[in-house]
Amino acid sequence: MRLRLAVLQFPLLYCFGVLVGMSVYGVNFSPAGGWLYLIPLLLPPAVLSRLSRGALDRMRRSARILAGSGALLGAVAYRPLHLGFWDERSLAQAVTVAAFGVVSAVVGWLALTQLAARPGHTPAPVAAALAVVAAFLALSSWYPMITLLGAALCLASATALRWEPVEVPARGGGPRAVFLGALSFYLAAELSQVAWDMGSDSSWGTLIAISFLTASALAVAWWFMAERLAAASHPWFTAGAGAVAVAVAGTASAVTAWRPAFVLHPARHVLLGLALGGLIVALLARTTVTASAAAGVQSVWLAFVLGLAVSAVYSAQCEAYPRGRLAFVAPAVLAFVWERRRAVALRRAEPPSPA
Amino acid sequence: MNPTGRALLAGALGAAAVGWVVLPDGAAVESPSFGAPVILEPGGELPVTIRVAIPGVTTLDAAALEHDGVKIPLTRVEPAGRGPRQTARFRIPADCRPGNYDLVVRAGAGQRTARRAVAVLREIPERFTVAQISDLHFGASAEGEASVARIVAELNRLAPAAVLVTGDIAQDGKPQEYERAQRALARLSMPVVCIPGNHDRRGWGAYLTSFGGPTGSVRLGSWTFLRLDSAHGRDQFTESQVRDIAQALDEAEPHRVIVLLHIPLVGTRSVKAHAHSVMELFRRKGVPLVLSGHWHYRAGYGEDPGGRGEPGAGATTYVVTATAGGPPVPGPTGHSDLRGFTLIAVDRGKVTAIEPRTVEGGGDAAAAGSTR
Repeated sequence: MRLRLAVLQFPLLYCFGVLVGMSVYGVNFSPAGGWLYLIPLLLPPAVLSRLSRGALDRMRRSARILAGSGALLGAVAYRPLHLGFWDERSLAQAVTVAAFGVVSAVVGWLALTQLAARPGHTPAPVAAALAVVAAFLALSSWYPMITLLGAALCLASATALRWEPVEVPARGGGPRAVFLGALSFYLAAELSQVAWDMGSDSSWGTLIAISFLTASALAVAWWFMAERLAAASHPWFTAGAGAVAVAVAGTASAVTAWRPAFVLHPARHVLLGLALGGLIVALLARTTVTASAAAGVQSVWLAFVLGLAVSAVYSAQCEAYPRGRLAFVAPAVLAFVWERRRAVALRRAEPPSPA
Repeated sequence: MNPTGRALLAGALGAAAVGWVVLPDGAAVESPSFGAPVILEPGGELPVTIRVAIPGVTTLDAAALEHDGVKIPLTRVEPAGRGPRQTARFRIPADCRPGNYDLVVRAGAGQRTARRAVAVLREIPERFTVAQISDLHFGASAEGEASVARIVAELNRLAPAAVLVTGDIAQDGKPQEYERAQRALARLSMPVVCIPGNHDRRGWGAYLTSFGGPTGSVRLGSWTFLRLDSAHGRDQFTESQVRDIAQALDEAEPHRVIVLLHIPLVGTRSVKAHAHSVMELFRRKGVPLVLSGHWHYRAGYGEDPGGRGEPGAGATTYVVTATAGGPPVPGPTGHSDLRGFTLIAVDRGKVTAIEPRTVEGGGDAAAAGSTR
């Protein structure tokens, strides 16, 4: 579970905390310090995903020190925010939070690489990690920025991990990686919408916690059912999880576009949780198969961070047009159709079996 | 190091981080605050809400009023819970002198003060006048700040029951701008109710630290001043705000609500999302008066623009007040209003007069008479 927490702490705790902090307390880039908050968000897609194996190995050797310093930086960053307010004009705060974010992203990426390189995962540790994340989000009803402390504690626990040299999985992640990445992007955008709407009322944390708890429960339940059904020759039960996730989240989006007040309804967050659970099942089903397919986990992680960032920008610029958010589902639908067509074309191109 | 040793070290690191983070601060006073004081008579019950650093450990132990170094301890009527957010009720002594008081709260080992958070009136009047000032823009110009000082002096002379400040208190949201604004407003002898404006979003943390939460209700007897934050996001209401407005209107006495809202609901520079549904809500709930600023010139809109028909006739009156300290801006007619404020008279459950006033004399003084 500690490894999963190290993976999830950046997108689910740090990013939610900072993106929400920026949107709730003012997206203010007038003081130069405001731009510093973007560095940790740009780091994974721009730098980490391009690192060579040698560079990753060197970083992995210092992973424990990095995680420990991240825990300390997180505590320093969060301390004035526990009972105080996000000070968007403070350069000192921007430097501390951004430095913490950089360490959080690096450790998250190292943990992700380690996780992705090992095939054969079960849902229990992911579900438990999601429950821990949900607990911090629930606490944010009273302490809006406590997700930063949560990320710091996950980094503290990462100091106890065994960091080993691993084979860097092949880039791309094999078939369906594009679709699952697009689905992850869409779910991140949908999940973060409520945080913007609630403004300075931080009870949004409870709603997102509902989504994560639903996702963890569904992932476990689906997995165990799938094990039984697979014996009865129903492999589509896990293979179709991603498509079902799009349909379920799409329902939540459509209802929100039709009745925008639905964004505050717990049922919406249960639906999004079910969709997130579907994504987890689809990922687990793939990572059981091969290590190279597990590389798709990395693109899913990156797409989630990107989804949060794009959604925050959309909220800041265009939230008066809530129906425009339906566009976030388009990449997932297009990727699904494209991959289905490609699979059909590949099947047709295969030589007929001798039988 | 073996796995057990590593786990112990990680646990110690986490525990040290949590302890260092949460131990120093005892509590923060959430309500009442400088911008949302509790207005009550001697002998009344004062609700106090705090957020504690460590739930279950720190509790709201005691509260007192303080004015000019004199402390008046309050008797606790209802104890606080032990959760992260705790509310307790205290009794104001029956012999408490009228005035504006700082609230001093003791929680655990710490003590917190909320400036001018409690206003004690000899009696809550059924017939009263309130004044609205808007767009103070501290930090924009020395001339503007001098204008606010003149308005403060004039309001002290007129002695309305309360002063309603409808946003844009600071120009750039710097802490020193809020300090100066707070010092100027603290010279008012009556309670002050504040909301933020779009300029206050430039220094949101500093605004919240000085004036408290942006939304909520302040009661003056049977009347409610409903404080709204129109500057969230891109000058718009969100779904949660619309829900909260409906809930606050349900809790308020019908037809006895004055809404404070920085950005007007109609026009080119107005609230973008949900404006019409909020106006419909005001109409349905019988809100008699909505006060705004933002435009820096006097205006009115809605069914009864600026109260020119008959205030209290049933329709909602929407009033936009000229700036108090910012630069005057020409209105649609091309003419700039002088800096000033608006007086609102209330008598037996009805808004009976709305009167714009200027402090700089001359200009359009003829137009500044009663609009009734």
